[in-house]
Amino acid sequence: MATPQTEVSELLNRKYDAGFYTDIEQDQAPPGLSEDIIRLISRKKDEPEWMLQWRLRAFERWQKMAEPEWAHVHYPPIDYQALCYYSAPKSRTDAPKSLDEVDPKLLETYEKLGIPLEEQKMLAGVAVDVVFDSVSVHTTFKEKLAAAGVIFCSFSEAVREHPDLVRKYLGSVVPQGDNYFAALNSAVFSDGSFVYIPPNTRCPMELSTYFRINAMNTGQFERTLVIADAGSYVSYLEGCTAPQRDENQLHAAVVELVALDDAEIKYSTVQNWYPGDEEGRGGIYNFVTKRGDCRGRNSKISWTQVETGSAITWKYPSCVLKGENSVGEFYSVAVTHHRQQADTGTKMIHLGRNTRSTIISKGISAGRGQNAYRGLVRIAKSAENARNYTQCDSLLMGSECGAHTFPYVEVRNASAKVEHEASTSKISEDQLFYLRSRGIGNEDAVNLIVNGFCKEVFKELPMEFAVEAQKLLNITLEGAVG
Amino acid sequence: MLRIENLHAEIDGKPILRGLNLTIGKGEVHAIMGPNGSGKSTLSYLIAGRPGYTVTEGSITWNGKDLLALEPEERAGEGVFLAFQYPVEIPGVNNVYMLRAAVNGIRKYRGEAEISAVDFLNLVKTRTREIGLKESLLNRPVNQGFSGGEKKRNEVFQMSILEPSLAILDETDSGLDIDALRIVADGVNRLRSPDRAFMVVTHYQRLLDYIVPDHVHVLADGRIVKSGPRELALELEAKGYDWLLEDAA
Amino acid sequence: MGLMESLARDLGGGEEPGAVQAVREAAFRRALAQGVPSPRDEDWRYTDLSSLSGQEFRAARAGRLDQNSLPLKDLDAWRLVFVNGRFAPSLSDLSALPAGITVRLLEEMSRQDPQWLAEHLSRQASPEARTFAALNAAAAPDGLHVEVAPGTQVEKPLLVIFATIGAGTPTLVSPHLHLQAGRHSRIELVELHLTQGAGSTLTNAHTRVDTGDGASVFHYRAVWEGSEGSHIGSVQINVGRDSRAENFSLVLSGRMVRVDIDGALAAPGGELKLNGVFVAGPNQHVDHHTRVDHAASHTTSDEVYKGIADGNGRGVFNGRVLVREGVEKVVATQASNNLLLSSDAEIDAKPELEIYANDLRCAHGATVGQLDDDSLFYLRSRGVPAVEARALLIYGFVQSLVESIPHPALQALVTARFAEANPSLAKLLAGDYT
Repeated sequence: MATPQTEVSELLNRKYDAGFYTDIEQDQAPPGLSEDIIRLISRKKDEPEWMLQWRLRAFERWQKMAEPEWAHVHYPPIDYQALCYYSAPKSRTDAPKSLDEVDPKLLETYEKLGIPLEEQKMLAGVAVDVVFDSVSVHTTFKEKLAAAGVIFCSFSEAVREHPDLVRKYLGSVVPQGDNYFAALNSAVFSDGSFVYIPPNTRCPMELSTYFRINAMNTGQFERTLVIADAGSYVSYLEGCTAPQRDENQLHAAVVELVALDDAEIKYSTVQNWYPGDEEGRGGIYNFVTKRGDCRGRNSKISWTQVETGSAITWKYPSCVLKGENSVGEFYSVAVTHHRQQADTGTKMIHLGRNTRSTIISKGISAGRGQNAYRGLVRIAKSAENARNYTQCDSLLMGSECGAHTFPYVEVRNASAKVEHEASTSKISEDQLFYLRSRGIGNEDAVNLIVNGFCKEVFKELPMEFAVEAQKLLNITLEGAVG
Repeated sequence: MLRIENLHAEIDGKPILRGLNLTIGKGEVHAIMGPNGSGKSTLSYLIAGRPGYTVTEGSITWNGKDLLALEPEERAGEGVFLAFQYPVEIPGVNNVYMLRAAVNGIRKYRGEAEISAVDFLNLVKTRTREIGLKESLLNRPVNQGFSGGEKKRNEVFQMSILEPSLAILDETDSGLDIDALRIVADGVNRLRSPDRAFMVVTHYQRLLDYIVPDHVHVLADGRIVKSGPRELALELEAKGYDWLLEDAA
Repeated sequence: MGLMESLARDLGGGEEPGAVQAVREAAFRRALAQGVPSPRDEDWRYTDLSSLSGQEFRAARAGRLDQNSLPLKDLDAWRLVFVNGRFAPSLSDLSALPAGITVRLLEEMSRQDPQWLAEHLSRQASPEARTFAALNAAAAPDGLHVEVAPGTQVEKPLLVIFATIGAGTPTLVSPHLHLQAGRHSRIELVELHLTQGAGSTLTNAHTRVDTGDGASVFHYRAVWEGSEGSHIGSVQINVGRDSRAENFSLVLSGRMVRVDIDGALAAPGGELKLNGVFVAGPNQHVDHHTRVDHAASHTTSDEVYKGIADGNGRGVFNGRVLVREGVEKVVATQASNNLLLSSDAEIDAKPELEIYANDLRCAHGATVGQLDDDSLFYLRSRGVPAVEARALLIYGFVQSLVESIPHPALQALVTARFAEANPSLAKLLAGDYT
């Protein structure tokens, strides 16, 4: 009889199926990072002078900073001068005005990814901004959004068309010098998405961005800025894939969210960057800074992430709860198998009165994967009546993996109530046998348990993403009964 | 027909069963009694296929099929059901979803079509009423937060849904007060039929007042040391097991 | 002059055999190389020692103890008293000590078995040793070595009191305690640190407990330093095969107190239980760090710490559980529950799990909260005055843990501390509330 472990590992050993690459002529800058490269990026994108100066200031800061070492991850030193900091599909030089003008090979790529780019799929109600390597290729549904007053465009376009908004909010949540990778991104970011929801507007559809790294030796540094003005609501989805390559690729993105009075932002991510092979060759280094600022009263920011990809993940989607009664949420499933490493979690910084936060983190380690949760809950002196609840569970599958939990709880206000619960366990043979003795096959039994373990997070995802997420975890969706 | 012949089994190199013989025919109810550590639970687990045991000699066949060659879920497909002594808690896995996956797993094994959602729901509702299971337990994670009595009742409820042809009840009476015991026994008795065989494992004869067996076997030191009619259970209750153990030695 | 430099002038020992002197020097070099930790070190993130660095500490010489004010008089125990790190025979009582216990001073060992002492101290100079444990090995003028013979069941606790006498100028005392519990033996050890006299004091204590196969050791460690007394204590517990070790840390007073408790479970069947109660009152800082290392299968650890911060006091709990690769059947639980009583107080908790193994069950939890308004209201609606209701609830927060200590005299030490902060509580606990 096969042991549960071997079957569990077979289940997890499925091949990466987004691992094709697209053969498109690239317009690429020479490798290396210097002021000249930054000027080149800025020129390529036709940026105003203020944007260039902002980048150069960030570059100056970055040069004085050191790469962080505190995370529970190990990787060989990155040669930042060997990376390429700008890469655009060449056909982009004459920006496509309609779908017909987009390189058919690109469209083919998105089709393989299952992105609903064509008209009929758009009717599914998803507006998509696609970032291919570093530039935004096409944004769907612009007209309908424009009618509602919603701005959803590539970052480059926002710099040109909405400079006042960009200047007001860019770097206001994640300052240039926040950390090493954020500083790097601030200097060299090439594109990304920009969203502005006007006051008292509920965004008429879910907004979605797909990121894909295609070119070799290319770093991807996209920048996302979402502003929800007073009384507005938006749900934003982000998906990521990358082709299979033997060398490591760097992804250092920055995401800034701003929620004003009574506004709500729901930000969901399904991250499936190429994780490297069984031996740990290749794969994306995913070093991402994501932070939401609950600036207004009664505002709410909710992060949901399903992280199955990347060789190394280093990210802590956070909430700064400044506004009175503001709410921060973090729901996360992180899976590491083979030799993947993840150091991920969140920070909830309570500054305002009656602020509340919830953290639900589920880590699954298999193979030789290392999975660390790192979270900070800080209740500042000013945060009267703040509440936090944290639940942080780890599931182990196999004897060579690791699960680590590093929660920081800092409370400076006596009216606070902070609860942290964590557990680590393995899929038990007793549970598997119980299900199998009821007639459920081993694979289905594992799926049932894993799915049950992640349920609290999946239920936070928009439906389309929940399906994709479960598929990514190789779980068959349970039939709804009753 | 369940046929166990000369069964020797060990766990971590430690022999537990040493040449056990047992035959249970269709429609029969057999009680297995014996002191703690005699191998009763091991026997139940071996029939259901729990990993971790090594069979060194002998065989278990069910309707002519070699059970030892089958995976646990395949045995379930062949109609084997084990009501666990200690039902396992499975966080996050909804009781009803689990059962539906089980019903369809068994149907698939038998080459039958999946059950429709409506039929399944009706079946669940009927059985819930019959067994007297609290409806609120249906959508809770499997056995999690159930009281001891609720867990045992849930086992019988699952049995009533899966309708096995060989039901093994492993110390289903342990930890139950007399009212709960009566309800569980009623559930079992309702399932008694000429097509269904029962193996009832128990330490106390109390259960056998409610589930009346056709045969009683005493398991000691890894073997059946005595078999007899129902009255044997009463004799055991009065005299204990020691006299049998001395005989066997 | 930095802390290290000021301490370098007064290294322990004096005229000692070469082997011992060599180890002391190595230990000091070790401490010097690591330097005084700063909040930039993850392990000292919440505790800043810079206030110590500004003072010129001198190793304490002799000191006179006010015998009448010694606590735990009611504890039926064999008693050893050390004043400023040196044994005080006149204050100690070892009459009718059973044959199974051998009590020796390090000074004695230095003469009789210098090789043993050198080896013993060298463990505190190893690369894994903590800075202050190394410093203790370098500076401890004396210390206690207790050996319990295999099979000995000691019926009364052994009480070791380390008194630090302030001399007006910054004074350093380096107490040292070692307990070796033989196979299948059983012993209770009560370790009490207290300060008398005036001026700034720094107690840098080190305790090591080694439990033999199947032994049971119950270790109660209480810290009651003065308002200008700082305390850095490191406790190393090595749990033997199938043996059980319990440590109960009571930090009741001190300006700056840091206690590191390291438990090593390196043999199957070991069980470690760590409990703690700490109170950080006005102008007090209390930091507990625990590190439990499951290096063997079938080992169990359980931690429960309760902390209270009042005034501008600050409480820190950092618990780390490590389960090493290839280790199976481990159960590790940890709870850190904290109560904040004032808007100027602060609690920082960091319960960590670091797990490289597969077959295990670990759970930890941390809570920070204030007194429950509903409970307060309930008591008041029953007629209990607010001040007393509050005092009852505060004590209630730690009561069950404190009452798990099987010695009323030790429990009384804790209630005395609570009564000091809440005079009405004294009445309530004494039972004369009407």
